[in-house]
Amino acid sequence: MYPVKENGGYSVVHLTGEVDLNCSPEARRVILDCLRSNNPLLIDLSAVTYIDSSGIASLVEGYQVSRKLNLDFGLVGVSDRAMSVLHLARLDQVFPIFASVEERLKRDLPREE
Amino acid sequence: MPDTGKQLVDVSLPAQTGHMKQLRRLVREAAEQAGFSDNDRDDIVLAVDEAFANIIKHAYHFDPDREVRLVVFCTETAMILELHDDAESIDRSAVKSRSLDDISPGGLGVYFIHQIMDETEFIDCDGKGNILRMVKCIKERDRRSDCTQ
Repeated sequence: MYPVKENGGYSVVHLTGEVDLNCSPEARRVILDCLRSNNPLLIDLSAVTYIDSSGIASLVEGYQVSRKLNLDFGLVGVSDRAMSVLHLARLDQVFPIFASVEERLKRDLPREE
Repeated sequence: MPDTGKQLVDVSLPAQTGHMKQLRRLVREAAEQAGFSDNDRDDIVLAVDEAFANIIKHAYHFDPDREVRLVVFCTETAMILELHDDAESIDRSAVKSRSLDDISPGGLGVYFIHQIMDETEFIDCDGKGNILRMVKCIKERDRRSDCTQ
């Protein structure tokens, strides 16, 4: 349901549309599958038109698992609505956030085991 | 009894995640009718959606045969949104907002509701269910005179 593309050594998960309690289990599954494959991960939120606490929880869980596995993790292209919800939860200060995948790649290489 | 103003919505929806989109549409249309700005509408939709999700998860334990009634009123100064369920009485001590120092995957929904709404109240219907009443005040510049009885 949510496409995953490879770019610059990262898996990039593209979340789209309305990420609510109906869809967030799938988002969580895709995010955790990428991390279990030991891939550094970026999550593209540019096409997210709505996200609720269950969607945010999937991102938080992904971030926590990535830290345990010492894998790089970030959010890219965060849509205005998604950013508003991250801000409400004060998680915009917690997640590594980048304007785009290219912006992340400019910074440095992904961290790997 | 407070002035509940003009009724905008009174609908019962199946307590299923597949109906959350419909709930959000109804709430957004009501918030627009009441005069809220785009940003306020987004926030109100999020709060009601979180409350609906909590009923599905915690009150009905994902039983798809249950229903939730959404009732929305507006006065000149506020919108009142109610979610009625017929679950057992809620243990209010268990309904807690998450500490923001606790970065954990869950517990954000109640925090969002309290952050967005100006008032929230749980009403116990004597063992016949619960009503979550949420009040969102309308900013003076957004008020409309047609949201009265």
